[in-house]
Amino acid sequence: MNSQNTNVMALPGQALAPRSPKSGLITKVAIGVGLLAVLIQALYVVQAQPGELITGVHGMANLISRSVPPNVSNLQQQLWPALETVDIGIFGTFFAVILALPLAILAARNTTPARPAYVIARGVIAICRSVPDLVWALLFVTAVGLGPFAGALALTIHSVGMLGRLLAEVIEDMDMGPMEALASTGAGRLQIFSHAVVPTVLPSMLGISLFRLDENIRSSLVLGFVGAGGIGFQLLTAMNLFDYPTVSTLLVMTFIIVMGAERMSAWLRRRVA
Amino acid sequence: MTSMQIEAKNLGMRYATGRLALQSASFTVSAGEFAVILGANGSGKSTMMRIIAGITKPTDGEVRLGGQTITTLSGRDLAKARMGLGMVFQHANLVKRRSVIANVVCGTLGRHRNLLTSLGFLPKSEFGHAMQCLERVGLTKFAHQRASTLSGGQAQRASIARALAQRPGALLADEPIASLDPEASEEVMRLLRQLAKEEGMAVLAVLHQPELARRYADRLLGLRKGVISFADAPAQVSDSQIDSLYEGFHPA
Repeated sequence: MNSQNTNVMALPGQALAPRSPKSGLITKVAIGVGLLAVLIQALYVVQAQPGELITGVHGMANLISRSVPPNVSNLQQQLWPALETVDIGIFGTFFAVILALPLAILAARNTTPARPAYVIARGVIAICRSVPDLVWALLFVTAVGLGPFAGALALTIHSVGMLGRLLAEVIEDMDMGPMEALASTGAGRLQIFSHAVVPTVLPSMLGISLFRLDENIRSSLVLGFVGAGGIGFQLLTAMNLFDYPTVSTLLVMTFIIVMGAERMSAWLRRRVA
Repeated sequence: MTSMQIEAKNLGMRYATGRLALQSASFTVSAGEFAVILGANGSGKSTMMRIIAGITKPTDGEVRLGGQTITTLSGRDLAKARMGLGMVFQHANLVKRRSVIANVVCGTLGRHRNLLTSLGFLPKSEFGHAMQCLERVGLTKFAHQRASTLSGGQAQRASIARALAQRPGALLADEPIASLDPEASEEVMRLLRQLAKEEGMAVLAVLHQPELARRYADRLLGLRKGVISFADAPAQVSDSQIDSLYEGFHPA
């Protein structure tokens, strides 16, 4: 505690001085104008034409009228892809957690064994995360062919990035006291990790993973569009065949799966909290 | 537990900034003795504790634990030597989601370094010993509760049990009652004294409560600006001597 006295902040004085209200007003106006400029360029770039939306509304109405009633005659054929969709999400989450945990340990400042390990782990996590799962799916389709396995692998890799970063943050935020206490008893690095870090972060870890499961099931619906199996692939096929009654059936199934996954994930998260 | 004494010889510490935190500080805490270091913030107490615990290396002098010089050790040898020294901190630092007994068993991990304990399993053979340690601090009936259910004083006693599970010969307590209420403070002080008397351990604590130190310690060590200004039995230390430690720190 006494060692802190010497190096306690030597901040420049003006940083602590209160801002004058006059300069505050100028700043506010500048920020306002800036935001407006950003919004206007966005409207221009996306070629926003509200008129098109209004005149085109009968086209949409036509499409919807052709989709009802939903075609339930081939419902049984759609159940398998639906199961595929859910299982792609489960696979992707499960293996992502297994891979992300060791990465997170290396990528957390307080548990990493060495600086290079930290940099490499952060790099791997950043790459996994910044490449969208759809792009990973395209890559894996070329590797393992069309089908759910490509989608499952894509979700795994993308989730490693998402989970790795969140888990590393949870580990960095944890109370270091128990770690120090165990270190003082002569426990080894791995022992400290498994006996102090894991029990402490377990609830957050489960919560994050369940949230990821929910998101992965939703993502896996879209992955079908690039040929990575599941209900998305059925949806794409039905669209291409202008089979709108089937499309609407699939959309209802999608709705049920998404809502179900969301509810189940929320319920489980409440249980582990 | 084989008791051992703590010896500090001519400890000096000069930080890279040039500040002198400790100056030729020497003292011995013998087996069975409860000594308390008193001093204001910035007097060098924490530096002293860190050096004795082997966390910081002094720029001068040496620390001997049970006759073994630890200030020259590093790595595995240091870790081994430190196992003879139990540590108690300001906060109990228990893993709150685990049971009290599991937390105490964790104190023995240093002597059970293997694959199973690295994977998070507890050494089964240590539960009996851990239960004895809990009995020593009077918490047996809480053994199977989550650590989060303990009160502040109970948690601190559980952390002492964890330190005991390590089978130390000496105990180092860094402001062990700083975050406890008066009643819990008395309990912890009484316990530290008992451990010195009944287990024959050398117990060294840093405290901010001169009054409690006076009542429980065998010896008071006054630290002022990095220099030991007195080291005597409480009866031999006058109030003005204690007040002088805090002079210039508390504007009267």
